[in-house]
Amino acid sequence: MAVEWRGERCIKCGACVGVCPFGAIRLEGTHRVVIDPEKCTNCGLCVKACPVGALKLEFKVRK
Amino acid sequence: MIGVVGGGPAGLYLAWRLAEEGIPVTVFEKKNEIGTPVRCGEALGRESLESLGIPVGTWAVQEIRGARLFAPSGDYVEILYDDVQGYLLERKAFEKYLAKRAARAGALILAGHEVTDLSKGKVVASHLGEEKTYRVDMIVGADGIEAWSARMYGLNLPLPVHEMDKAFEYEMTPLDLDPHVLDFYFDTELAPRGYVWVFPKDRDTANVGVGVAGDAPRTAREYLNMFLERYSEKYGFDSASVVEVKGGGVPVGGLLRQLSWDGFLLVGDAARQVHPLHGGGMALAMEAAKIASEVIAKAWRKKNFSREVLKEYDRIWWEKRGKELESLVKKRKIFEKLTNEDFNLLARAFTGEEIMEIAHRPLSPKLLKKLARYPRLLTLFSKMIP
Repeated sequence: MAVEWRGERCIKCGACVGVCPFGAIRLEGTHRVVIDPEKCTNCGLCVKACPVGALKLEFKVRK
Repeated sequence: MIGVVGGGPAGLYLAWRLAEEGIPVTVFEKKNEIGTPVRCGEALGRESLESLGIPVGTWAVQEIRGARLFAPSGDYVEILYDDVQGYLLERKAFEKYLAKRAARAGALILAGHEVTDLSKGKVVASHLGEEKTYRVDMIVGADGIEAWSARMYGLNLPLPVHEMDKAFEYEMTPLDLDPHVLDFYFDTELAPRGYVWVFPKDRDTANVGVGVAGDAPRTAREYLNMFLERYSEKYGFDSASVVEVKGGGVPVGGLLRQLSWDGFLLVGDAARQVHPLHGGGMALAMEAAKIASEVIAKAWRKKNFSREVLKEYDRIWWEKRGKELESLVKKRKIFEKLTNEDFNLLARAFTGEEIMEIAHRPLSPKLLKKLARYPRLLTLFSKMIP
């Protein structure tokens, strides 16, 4: 499982950054959201907080 | 030198005040264009501007004389005044104005400078890929809801998702409007724990937005679309253009007890200085910046930026505003329980003046007597009596 950032939907508002309890999301520069997989626990708070649905919890099938 | 991270209303106003005291200050703003992207409904009260000593300029694009609060039934209460109560701002222009005022007073404003690292006494900023280290006497974190400065300083200040609102807004034109009145819509389906707003920016242009609880089931964008569909005919949304898209997170709760540390303090959204009922942040952010600037000026004269000196800012803020905001958060939790039937009843049976009294003041015996006719409302609101 991983949080996926869908850049085309993002309005770069920083709500996800503020709500992340682990400091795992950062609005880098002005146009890119970066998620640190080491810090992210897939808790989904950023997904809830996003005003536009630009973040998604992706379930990945392990092969 | 005082280093300010973030060139929004809080950081720029603080820099202006410090510069007027003759204190060297540098504002680092990561965006190339100050004021963008707008994350705001752009309304600001006249009294706030007056008490902050900011003369009204061309950035105040529309005069506001009152408000209408709508219930789902279409019933509404009106609060109208003869004189100007506030303004809709062109916020990009407002922030640029603040930046210029600060710069003319002697502050250094650095747009396009992203702070990539900081620690006590030091700020590292990157401008178009080139990094530079700045020595600072202390740092002010004014970087909005992200508050990345606080994380870099080593603080962990969790913001519970329920204590924030997610907001989304279109600036639309041409619309059918009452150009001097703010419209608010309360409806638990369209805006759980929040409201929809239509704020006029000129005779036929308005910010149309919604703020809902951070943990509401849908995205703010989806709630706004529902509103636009339902009220299309009333305002003419169908045939209107979108001239700007805005949105963001609003820290409407989770107030911070501590606002200053050794060589570091927070102001504005980064310090969660937001009105818990309407979600407005600009006025409180600048008020806090004013208090902080006075405390920093004292620290500057003593050449002592320790927590011991800076904590006076925490104390003054909590005395002047913090306690009040705390009680408003409690009130908000009561208002969260209101149903659409409650909203309909409030709009039908109460006046605008009475609604304002419920929201902002202790209930008078007269209003309690009236509420006694509506047991559910009385039970709810009587919890607000201290």
